[in-house]
Amino acid sequence: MTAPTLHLDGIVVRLAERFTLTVDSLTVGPGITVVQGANGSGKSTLLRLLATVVAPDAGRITVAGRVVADRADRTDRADRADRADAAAIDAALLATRRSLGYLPQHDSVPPRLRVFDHVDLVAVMRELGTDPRSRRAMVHRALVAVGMDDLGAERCGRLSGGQRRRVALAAALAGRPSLLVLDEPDASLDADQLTGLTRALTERAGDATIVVATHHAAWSTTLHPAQTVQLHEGQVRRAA
Amino acid sequence: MIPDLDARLAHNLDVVMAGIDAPPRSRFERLLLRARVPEPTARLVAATPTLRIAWFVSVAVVLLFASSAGDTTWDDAGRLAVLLTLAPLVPVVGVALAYGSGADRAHEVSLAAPLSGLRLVLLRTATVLAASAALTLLGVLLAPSAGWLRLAWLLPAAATTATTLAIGTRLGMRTAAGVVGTAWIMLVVAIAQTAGDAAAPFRATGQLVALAVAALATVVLVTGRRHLEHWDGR
Repeated sequence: MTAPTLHLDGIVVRLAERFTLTVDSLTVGPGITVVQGANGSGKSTLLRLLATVVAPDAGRITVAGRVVADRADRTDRADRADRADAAAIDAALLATRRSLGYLPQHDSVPPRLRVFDHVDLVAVMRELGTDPRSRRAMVHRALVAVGMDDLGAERCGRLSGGQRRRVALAAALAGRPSLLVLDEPDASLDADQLTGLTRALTERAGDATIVVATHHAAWSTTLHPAQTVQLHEGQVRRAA
Repeated sequence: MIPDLDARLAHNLDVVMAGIDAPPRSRFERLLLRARVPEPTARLVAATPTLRIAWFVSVAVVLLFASSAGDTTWDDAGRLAVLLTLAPLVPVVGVALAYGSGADRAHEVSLAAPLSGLRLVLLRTATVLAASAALTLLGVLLAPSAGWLRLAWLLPAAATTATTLAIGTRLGMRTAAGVVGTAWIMLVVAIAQTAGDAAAPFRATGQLVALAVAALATVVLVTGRRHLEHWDGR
């Protein structure tokens, strides 16, 4: 799988009249892109948009040259010609999700599930592996990558915040997706774990498009990002 | 050749290590696998986060009915009407708690995954339905009157569940469950009072209406599945 390039054009996302994210034009290419900004600046909304979780109210998103969302996508009263477009968009959306690993900002690890089972469940949702054995091997490899393989049988509710974060990260990393969208992967991690995360991400940066939102400016420089996007009050202030 | 061999050895080692690291599958998941349910489906079903809640709600309904069965202030028809009114709400509560951001911490991760949202909803609904139906049947055994009326909650349950799913694709499952639950109780009370018969909503005409509603809601659910497959994370 080659690392995809994402284009966002004329994007507007309105969240319950209290916040609007506006992106006139943004290109996210292979390598690491760091998204920075104060609390409430729209980092998580931008990442949820890139992870195909939140739809734009206006604008167009393309991934690897294929349209995955545009304004027409949100109207179901399409005529026959539009329906053909909708089918192409559906196919592109599915293809994008097949190549996507996503870490949301909030704690996404159910406390009752065991560590291995949670990562495996997400792997099933992500349709990883050609058979259960190869899928479970991918899960094992992802747990090794975040240093959680020895806690596979532990219930997630018994883990510390940092450990749960690493479990969620393993669920995103499993299967080596070519598009990684990680919302504050450094949250709750100690210095050693942060070093491990840096190593894991920079190792993947060669053959993946990785978007990382973080408050941790010093850490983000250690990722040697190809691009840094600054958000301010829902607008891209600078992409360099 | 040697790099290929290395990769295969590494993969085989991962397979072996995964077998060691992975906890044993739950009894429920093993039961599903023995019943020849495909492994990924068994995994999805066994990890339904609210299965336990569905059981608790079902048990509560059964206990409520069991206690009302010994209450001498209600006649047999009244007690049966209580069961028939409450039983179709059990799967509605289960569905409300089985899908959505409030029900499942990993909901947003599932939205970003290629797995069909409709498939996930239906799998979880089927799981919750099976759990709740099994226990509601216990309540039926306690029902004071014999005859087909003891099973008269089945079609209404199908109607309330399908309607919740259909409305839930647009409003979210919890809102839909609130709307359907409220509407159901108001409808039952209104029909019973108008007819002067507590079981009136569950007789032949009511069953036919429930069947029609279930069919219509299923059509709406299938035609509106794009809302589940697409970006509904806000």
